[in-house]
Amino acid sequence: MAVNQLNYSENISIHTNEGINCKTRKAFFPIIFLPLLAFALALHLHLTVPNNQELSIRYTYAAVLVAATALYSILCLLSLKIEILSQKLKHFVPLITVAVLLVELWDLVTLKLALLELPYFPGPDKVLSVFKDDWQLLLKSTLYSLRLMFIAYLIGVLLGLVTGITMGWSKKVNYWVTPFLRVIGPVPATAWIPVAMVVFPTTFSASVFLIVLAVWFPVTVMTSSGIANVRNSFFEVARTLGADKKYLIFKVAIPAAYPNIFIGLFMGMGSSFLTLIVGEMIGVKAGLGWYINWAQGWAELHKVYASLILMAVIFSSLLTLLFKVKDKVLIWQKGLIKW
Amino acid sequence: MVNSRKIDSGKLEIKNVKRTFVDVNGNEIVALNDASLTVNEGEFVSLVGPSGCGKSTLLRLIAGLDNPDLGEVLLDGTAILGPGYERGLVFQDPTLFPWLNVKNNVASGLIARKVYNKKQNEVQDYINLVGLTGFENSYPHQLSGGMAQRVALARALVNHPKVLLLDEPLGALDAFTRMQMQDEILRIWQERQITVVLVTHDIDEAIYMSDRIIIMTPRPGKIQEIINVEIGRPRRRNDPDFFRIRSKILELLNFAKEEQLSYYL
Ligand SMILES: Nc1ncnc2c1ncn2[C@@H]1O[C@H](COP(=O)(O)OP(=O)(O)O)[C@@H](O)[C@H]1O
Ligand SMILES: [Mg+2]
Repeated sequence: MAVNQLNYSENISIHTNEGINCKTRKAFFPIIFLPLLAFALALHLHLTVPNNQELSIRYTYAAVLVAATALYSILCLLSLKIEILSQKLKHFVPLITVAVLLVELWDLVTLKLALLELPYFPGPDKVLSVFKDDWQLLLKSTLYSLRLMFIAYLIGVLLGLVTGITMGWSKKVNYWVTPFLRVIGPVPATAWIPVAMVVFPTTFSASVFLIVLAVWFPVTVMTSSGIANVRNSFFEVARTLGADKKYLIFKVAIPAAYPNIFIGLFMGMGSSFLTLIVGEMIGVKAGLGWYINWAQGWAELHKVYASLILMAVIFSSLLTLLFKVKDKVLIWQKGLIKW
Repeated sequence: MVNSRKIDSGKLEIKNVKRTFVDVNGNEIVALNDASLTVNEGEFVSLVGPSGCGKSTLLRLIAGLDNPDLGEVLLDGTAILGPGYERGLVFQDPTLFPWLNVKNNVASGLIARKVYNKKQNEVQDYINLVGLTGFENSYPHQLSGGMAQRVALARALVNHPKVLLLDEPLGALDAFTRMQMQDEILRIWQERQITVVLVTHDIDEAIYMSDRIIIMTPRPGKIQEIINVEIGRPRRRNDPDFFRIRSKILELLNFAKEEQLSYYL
């Protein structure tokens, strides 16, 4: 009897589940059109409401809207065939819709209604036009920043790993390096700018030094604490398996510390962005930080906004890349920090 | 091929071993006092006794993870000075390397000893031996407790230890998995003629598996009595002799408790 009842209730729950599935499947079709409506509304408002801030538009924003609409439509068509894509799209539908509406709101309060004034608050059309007009300088600045960042981050990470591993492993090294780390570490790398400018022969090497310092500190701290906190039983098991010292360091201590090391790499990347931009604003004569500073000097705020957008995209992509690597390496671990 | 010769067994001699610790309050704890025991080649011996009586301490001394204050521990006549692969160890916590999949966990001993290239085909043999065929690429967090403990067992066995040290390896498993793994350990022991020292708090497990049971008592930890389990193999869990030996052990442990009480009074 009891068994029958159980089966019965199971059947009911299966039916209701199917009901829900049908509903969501039907609801999917109108929802997927929401971004298209938003694109259309934005385009309509942008092209029909009279301009108040400036007389003419460059049609850059309009072109971007059209391109985005086309791209989104293609994705929608593809998602009919690819199940994963359709789920991804469904997830992003509300975000895309609201984002488009917000950008259009920005267009309305600046260019259209002039509630916010130039030169401080250019509209999306003016900002996006920077990418068309000044792309050469922007590209050059980006490449310059990336080169500096890449070299310095790599050196900082390597130094941090070596310091952290030897500190985590050797009590002696730990004893002598800890005070150094405690005193130097917390000082923001940017505070060293005046010293670095004097000590290093070129502004480039000076900024490499600053970023290396900014990256080295968190990577060292997280690596050494990660290694120092590895469960002793891992080492004991490895030793009963015949492990030598090299195995204990490279095959036990370091992999066990990976989760910590990745937090260090993440924090180091954050502080390297900061140091890069501040360093470029103050000393270096190229790069995105320099570009922002230079644009501000000419009161060309639309260029400042454009480079901010570019920076957001680049830095965010770099962090995403780091987390992709983390997911590959730490496949055995669940959780850690999400990005 | 793996089990063709009876090379995987060793003779353990524990001679008048003493080990003391200092606890957080600075008091001295005699974890083991004047413990002597010989475990013959291919013998299956269990250590039984209330917690804190020095069972793990004794096992760690044999493993070479710890050193005695007095006395010595010999394997085939040679003093044990540190850990070595000829003495395999399995804890209650499987302590698998979470960053390695099952295959690489089992292979870790071979890799550590730099013999992986020569012996890598044995990895699969041992995965099969403990019944984990098909789980080679799983990571420890995807395994149940019993499966993880099988991997730990395979990881210790792949090195062909002469002595297998098991510290309550089945303590955290459910009753059915435990009985199943008892049989598997016995099967491996019989195939390989390996010397086994098993720490357990399960008296039935000790009787079912061992040739001899070492009864230990705490404060100070010492070997109280050694019981020969003279029941033919394969054993049946409901053999009438079980109850006889069981009540003898219980008596011994109860007796020990009374003595301990009077010790404190
Ligand atoms: N590293 C240590 N430091 C201090 N005391 C310890 C240490 N290891 C074991 N002991 C003490 O020694 C005694 C025996 O411990 P142990 O061998 O782990 O007992 P068992 O395994 O029989 O439960 C216990 O009182 C325990 O607290
Ligand atoms: Mg114990």
